[in-house]
Amino acid sequence: MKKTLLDIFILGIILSFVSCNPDNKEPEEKNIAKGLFILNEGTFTYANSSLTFYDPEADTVENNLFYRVNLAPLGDVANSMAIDENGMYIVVNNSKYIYKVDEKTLKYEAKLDGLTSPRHIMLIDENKAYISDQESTGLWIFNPSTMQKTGFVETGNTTEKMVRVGNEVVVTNWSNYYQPNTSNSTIQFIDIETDKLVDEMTVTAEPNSIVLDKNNNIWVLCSGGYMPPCEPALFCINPATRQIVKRFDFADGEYPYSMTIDKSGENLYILNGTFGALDLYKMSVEDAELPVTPLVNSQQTTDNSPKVFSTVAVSPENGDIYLTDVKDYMQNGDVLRYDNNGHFLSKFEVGIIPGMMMFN
Amino acid sequence: MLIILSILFALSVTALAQNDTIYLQSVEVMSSYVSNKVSKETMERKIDTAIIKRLKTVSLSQLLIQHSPVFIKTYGPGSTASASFRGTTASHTLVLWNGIQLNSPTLGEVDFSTIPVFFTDEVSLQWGSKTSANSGGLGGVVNVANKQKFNEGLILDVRQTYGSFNTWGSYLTLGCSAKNIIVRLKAYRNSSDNDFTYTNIATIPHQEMKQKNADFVDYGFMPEMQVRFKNSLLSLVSWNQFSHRNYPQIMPNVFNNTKEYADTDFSRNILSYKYYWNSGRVEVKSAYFHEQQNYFLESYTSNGKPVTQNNSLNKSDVFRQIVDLQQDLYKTWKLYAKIQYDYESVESSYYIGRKNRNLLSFYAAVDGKVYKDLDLRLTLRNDIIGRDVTPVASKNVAPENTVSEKMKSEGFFPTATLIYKVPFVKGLSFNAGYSHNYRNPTLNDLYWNPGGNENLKGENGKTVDLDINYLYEDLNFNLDLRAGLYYSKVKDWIQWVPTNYRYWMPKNVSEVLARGLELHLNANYRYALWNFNISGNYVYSHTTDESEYAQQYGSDGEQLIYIPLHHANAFAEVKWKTWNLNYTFEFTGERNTSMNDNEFFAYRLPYYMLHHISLGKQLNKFRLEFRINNLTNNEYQTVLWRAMPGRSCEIYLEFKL
Repeated sequence: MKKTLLDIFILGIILSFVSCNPDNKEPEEKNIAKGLFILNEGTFTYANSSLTFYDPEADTVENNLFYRVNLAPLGDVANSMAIDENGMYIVVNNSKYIYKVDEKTLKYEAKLDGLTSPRHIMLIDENKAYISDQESTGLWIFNPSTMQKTGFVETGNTTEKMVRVGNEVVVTNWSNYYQPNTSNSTIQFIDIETDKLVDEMTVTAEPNSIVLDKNNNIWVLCSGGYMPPCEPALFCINPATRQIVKRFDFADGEYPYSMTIDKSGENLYILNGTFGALDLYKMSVEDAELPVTPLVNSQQTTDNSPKVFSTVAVSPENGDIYLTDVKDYMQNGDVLRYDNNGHFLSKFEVGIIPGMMMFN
Repeated sequence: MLIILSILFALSVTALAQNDTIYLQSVEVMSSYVSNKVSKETMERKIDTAIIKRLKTVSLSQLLIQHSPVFIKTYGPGSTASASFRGTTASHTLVLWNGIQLNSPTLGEVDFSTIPVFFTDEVSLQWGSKTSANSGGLGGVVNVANKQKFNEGLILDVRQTYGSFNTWGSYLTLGCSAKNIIVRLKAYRNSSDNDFTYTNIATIPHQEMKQKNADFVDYGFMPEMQVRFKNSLLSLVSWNQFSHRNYPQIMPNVFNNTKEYADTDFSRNILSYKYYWNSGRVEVKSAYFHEQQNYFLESYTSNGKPVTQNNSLNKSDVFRQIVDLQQDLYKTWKLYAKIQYDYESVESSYYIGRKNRNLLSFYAAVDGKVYKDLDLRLTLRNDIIGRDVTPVASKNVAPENTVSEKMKSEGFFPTATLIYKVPFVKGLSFNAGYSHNYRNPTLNDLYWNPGGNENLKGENGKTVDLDINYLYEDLNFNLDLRAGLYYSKVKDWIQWVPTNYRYWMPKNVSEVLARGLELHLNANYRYALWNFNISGNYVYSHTTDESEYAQQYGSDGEQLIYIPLHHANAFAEVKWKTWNLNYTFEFTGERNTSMNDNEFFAYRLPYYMLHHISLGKQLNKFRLEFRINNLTNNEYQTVLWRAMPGRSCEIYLEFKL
């Protein structure tokens, strides 16, 4: 009896030496084709963000790419990414850093940290880019080639999404949760030569998306806020004159959540509805009214199970629509692919809470 | 031919001899009120007092993970440690201190890292129908109790520890145990820089680094008094504790400029009066707990200004009143009855106004012999709850508009247990039980703003279990073997789920099935001046959500997160004269951290094993011990991306009068 137990202990000791490093995998070599990156946020504080790549031509999906190539986690709540010819930049919000990786091999190159709550990147040129921040009041300036911070544009409000119009960057002020006495219902104009705030316009609460159309007008989608009275609205703004060209108000109780525009700058794709049940609407920039019939209804999809859509992307190649389904926010989500008329094509599994999607 | 189990137990107690004197003289006063001689051995296990004495300077979390079947999920030294008992979660593990519930009314769980073993004299585990006197213990109950005998004279015990990472612990017990009065004071302070070196596998490249911002200091004192009269006993105990704990960042976030800490203070007080007569006793207990916690999280902006992300204060006041009766009925039959009234009141930064809850509970149990070697135990409880309800019309009303709901019955909860002592194999016994119990939603579940759901029902659990016990004793050799099987189904299991608003909301969506096996062994052998002891636990727990909600998302049948399918521990001790050598082994199997079938490291934590040894010597009234924890310097994670210390050493010195 005692001998058996002793054997078990000895076995235990041996096993534990063997098992010291359960993680001794080899890094994978990758050569990314043309297609769609999907950034999965992961669970807050679990640092299980991940990067997925979908190749539409081959119809192949690769998940957990960052981890597989670099043998380290992407971090805690990957929020957004940007790509240029020098690399790919991934903003990891709750880890408060930006990873720069090779856009083909996805190999880690450099890291920028010391940010407060980084959200999005606007690449200006090869030596300059802005990072918006949900807790600091303004934009960080950094050099993407050295991955060093070079300055800060103080704007007085926290910053979110950005669009570039000529020599200006227009940024939305989306949140005042951590900076209670600032605005969450404005957009601000920053001169990229001087890095100074030059103007500001009021929209409604929580401008969550901003895009530039073919007429050089900017479109700003506002979810309208969190506590009543909510004022969900869509604005078309002439950035040169700082005039509101058109304003569309959503019905009470609607929660427009995100918006993108196609490559030609002609059609807006808007996710609207209630928070957990957002439908996709398509709207021309020339339309005089908000669309009433969804292009994709989240509650009546082909497989008859309701979807929790969160972001939308439109292929610059063929106009295919990609929608993320975050499911219960706890497990791997899906990306659903539709043609430009809203007909379901296919779907594939991605990581936890798929968020930003971007074509390379 | 057949002997009833109560007599067996009485005999076995006599056989074990030493500790128990007659009932009045042993100070059972502060123990759990459902002390039931017939089924004392069933569905209950005491942690060996020798082990408790040896581990006085650690926290209850460490004691349980090393010496019990309870699984502990720890965020690291000085951080939260929560329990999983019989495949359930922390909020299904009820913790009773001298019979009074310690689970926080806001979170429903207990942080075992805040219970120093030093403040306890007895630790025991109960499951199945043994949990029936209270709601909440759907997995089981961890009992901690204070006990001190009369007539032992002056009490003086000083312990000092010093270990790696500048860890200091000082423990003092001072008191006097006279013929009819005991006065005892315990006080301690425990602190650590906790700046251990580990390999950060979340950075590129992986690098050796020191843990930062993980230092903590805990201190507390516990005065106790007991006075014995002719037929009665009065006792008072007060547990006061304070802690300041910095929280380190998870591995990928170590370069974050973030400050995170929690300050926790509490004062827990119990006054008890016990009156005995020939065939029974009655006990009246009154408890008042005040607890408060300040959680703070801050980051820094571009110009170095702090951004306070969280600075929440949570204060709770809890009163519990218990009248507990025990009466012999007829032959071997006994009656137990309890009436309990609880009042919980909480003020939190996350609630709108102060929230209160009342609970009135009636409990009765009978047990005795039904036929020869067969004993039966039946219990029944009825709980009536009254709680604050916000008028439906407007959710965001001023606190004074909160109205209290009328008392409402939560239903009747029965249990039945059969105990069978096999007549032809000495020491072998079986018991089988059915129990029905429930767990109230926590006040956070009900009132968190936003998201709190006042329409939540209690979780409803039904369990069947079967235990097989074998006890062998002779002069030099003891063997205790136990196997337990359980199968429980918890309906209306509360889970926070995303809603059509922007916040999450707790709902009774899950239907959780927990089934498993527990094995326990304890063997002791004496030979001349040598003493050998071996003990161990192995637990298999398979817990899944089988609800429609889970099916909708394809996560049905997946093991719930942070519940290992397998875990085990083992302990071996050799004593020779005044020397002792101990070895402790922990095994924790793979754990899911998300409901996905996926090999990604962050989705499933690998298993790990830990080895600890210690060598000690008694020198008159002094005792010196040298301990090495995590001897093989293993790198492991108990919670995803939370760094854990490698090998560490500790010196322990004790002086006991």
